[in-house]
Amino acid sequence: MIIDIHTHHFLGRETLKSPEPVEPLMRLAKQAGVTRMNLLGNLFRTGKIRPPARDLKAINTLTMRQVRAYPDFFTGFCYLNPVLDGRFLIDEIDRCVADGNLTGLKFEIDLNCRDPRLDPLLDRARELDIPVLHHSWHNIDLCTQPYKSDPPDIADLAARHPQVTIIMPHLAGVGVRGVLDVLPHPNVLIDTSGGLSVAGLIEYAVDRLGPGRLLYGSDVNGRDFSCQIGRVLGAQVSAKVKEQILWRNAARVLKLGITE
Amino acid sequence: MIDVNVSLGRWPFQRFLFDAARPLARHLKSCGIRKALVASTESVLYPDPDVYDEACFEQIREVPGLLPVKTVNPVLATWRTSLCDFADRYELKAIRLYPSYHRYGLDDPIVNELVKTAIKLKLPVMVAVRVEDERQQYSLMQVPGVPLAAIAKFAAAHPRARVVALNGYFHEIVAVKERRNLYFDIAFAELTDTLRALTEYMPARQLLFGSQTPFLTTKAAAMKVELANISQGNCERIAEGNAVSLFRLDR
Repeated sequence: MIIDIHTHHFLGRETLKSPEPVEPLMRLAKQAGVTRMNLLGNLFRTGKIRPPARDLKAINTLTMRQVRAYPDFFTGFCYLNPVLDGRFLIDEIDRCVADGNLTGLKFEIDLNCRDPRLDPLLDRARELDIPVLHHSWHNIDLCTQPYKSDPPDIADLAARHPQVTIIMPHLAGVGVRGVLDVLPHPNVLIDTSGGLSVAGLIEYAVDRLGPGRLLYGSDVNGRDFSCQIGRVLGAQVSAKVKEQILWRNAARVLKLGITE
Repeated sequence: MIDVNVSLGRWPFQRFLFDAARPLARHLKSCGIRKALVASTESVLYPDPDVYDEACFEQIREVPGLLPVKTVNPVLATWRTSLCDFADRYELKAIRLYPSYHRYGLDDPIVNELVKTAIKLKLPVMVAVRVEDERQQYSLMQVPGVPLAAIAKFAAAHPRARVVALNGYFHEIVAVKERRNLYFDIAFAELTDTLRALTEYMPARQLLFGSQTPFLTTKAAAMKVELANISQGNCERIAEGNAVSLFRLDR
């Protein structure tokens, strides 16, 4: 069993109004052994960060539609741009999670997560008992995205909201230093998605964080299930640990009720 | 499979899990790789590549399936005698160049001389586009990648040479139009359904299986081939066939 915690449906020249079918991506996933995919939204298809409310709602509506079409295969997170009006954002969480079929929140590079505008949104996540996946990457010398969050920013968010499960993605992007940044915060898990399959990182993260704090993710499209899964299968850790990374930890975080 | 992109040794910015020849060979075999072209990691950074090349080649000499690739820095005064000497002593399968690390251009006249020597020795010329993802490099040692366009121009200028670009990203590889004598390994190339996508842009005969072990996870590259949605013939070409003919290897 494999649960992919970090996916997007970006196939082809999709637009929000007429999305291409998701089935080809599902076929590739199943061919690679993926049994469930967690959709994080059709981000950036409007061509910009900080999407306006109308586009944000369209992104989440599409995710909900995909989850509804294949509830045994997809779960999905509600994408939020924290710069938008706070009342609208709480309403959007309620529309998609409390009243909808999404089971987590997703933040991208719209606002650095030290900003207090995230706090009421994470408070609502705590009330709903859902996880939050917040983009991160170590950007010591990369200043191309002014609002994005580095691992120390994620650590700050985790300290402010210790009861919320926070998934920090992109193990290769956050690297050894990112692992150390979130080490003191047991509510932070790291997903393996994105970047190159840098050897030794999973082994290092397991050693430092323990096997319960890593999740397999691919960051498809744009990434390939084959090598993203291969980086976990090829890690020099036990079969039991690989199983935890590939699905057990995700099943726990997503509350799927799957144990075997 | 035959892996054209393997290194042996140590690297100051990464802890390798396989830094000796026998464990490396065992590991590669466990991933379905029966032969690998191996260069020394230390030869990228140490001022005289011969020192670590020799240590590397002496190690792999005793290990079946590991085949030597000489790192050449044409800026050094001794490169020509060194290369000929190593070609006499070891069964070299190729040479590797690191223009960004050794700070020269592929259009430098000294490189012309080097290519002539490589052709004479029947050695393909591997050019490392990069060693690491630039975004993950040590902050005080930022080394830019070699533009694929420069490698393509270099290959076109030396039509008798066989040139292999290592560690190019997908978007860089597919942007190359002039590539008659140019080959690419797949270590850094990734897109949804990577090999199917690559072969939509170029014939499979120009693609080589490479993993960039031990920098990257070997199994990740192996699974690109294992799960490839391409014909069995093209899969075999990328996994082995192209390497056999390009590097004159035994089947």
